[in-house]
Amino acid sequence: MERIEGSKKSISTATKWDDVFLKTGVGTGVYTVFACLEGNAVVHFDGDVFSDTDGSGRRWMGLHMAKADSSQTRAARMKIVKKVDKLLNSILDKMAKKYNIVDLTKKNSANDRIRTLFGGIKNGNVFTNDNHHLSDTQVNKLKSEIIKLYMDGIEKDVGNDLEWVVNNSGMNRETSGYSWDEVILNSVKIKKVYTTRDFVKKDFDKNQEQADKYPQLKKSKFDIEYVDDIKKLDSKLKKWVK
Amino acid sequence: MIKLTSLISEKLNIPGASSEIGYIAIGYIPLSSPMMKRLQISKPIKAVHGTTDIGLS
Repeated sequence: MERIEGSKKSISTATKWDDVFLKTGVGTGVYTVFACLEGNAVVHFDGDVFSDTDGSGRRWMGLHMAKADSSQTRAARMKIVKKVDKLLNSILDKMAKKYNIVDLTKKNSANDRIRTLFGGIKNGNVFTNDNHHLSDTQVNKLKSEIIKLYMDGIEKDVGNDLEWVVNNSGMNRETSGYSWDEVILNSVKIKKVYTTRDFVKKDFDKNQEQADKYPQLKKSKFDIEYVDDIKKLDSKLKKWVK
Repeated sequence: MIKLTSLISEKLNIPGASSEIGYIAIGYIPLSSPMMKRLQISKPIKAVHGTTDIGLS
């Protein structure tokens, strides 16, 4: 969390919730820590879209989080899915031709082609039709090319659909139990941290054993407060986002 | 055509699914700033992040 502060990296946050949020956190499991943040909202979904980051810090979401609860929304989502399908297929075709990669011909199923290419990249073993395999340099070049083609393609082909995706994605807060919105925030500043973990209280009480176990708390620059009651915590957090 | 929905349901079986290339393999949409800038909805707000990990080191 500290590393995110002030960087361009994004974090998934909420501005609306009910008790479930306090019991599970955002996209985590069991709550322990809640940070009050100021930042720049890059995008705001009405419900949780389970966005996730890759190793480079880029954030992603699946189109399966877009609504499909009526014939109109199903059709709208399918239209976008088909565009992404088409883009992926065109990338496969281009890479097959350029690098002469084995099993990327159209006679193989699309899913097998995906697994062959992306699995090969992941494992560093991309084989060619003339029984060679690409060098590490070639694999890295191939990977960079795919990423660029995909990013450019998404922006070009799906860019005009983004507004629909943003306005029509997220778990239904009334029926799913995932009752918080999802706001992707960057340029984050951490203004206050609340925790329900009692080790923090013990640490505040200068319990040496706990202090030794969690030295990061001693070094933390954040204003950390232990709260032992969910209702009090809820009230403090709601006051913050108000 | 690639069956994106079936690929998504098999996400964990795709090598490197949580990597940049893995998300592309299953047709995920990047929510990065350049993509979202076109929506022009960026604005300063106050929000809350919940986590299991103290993560302050």
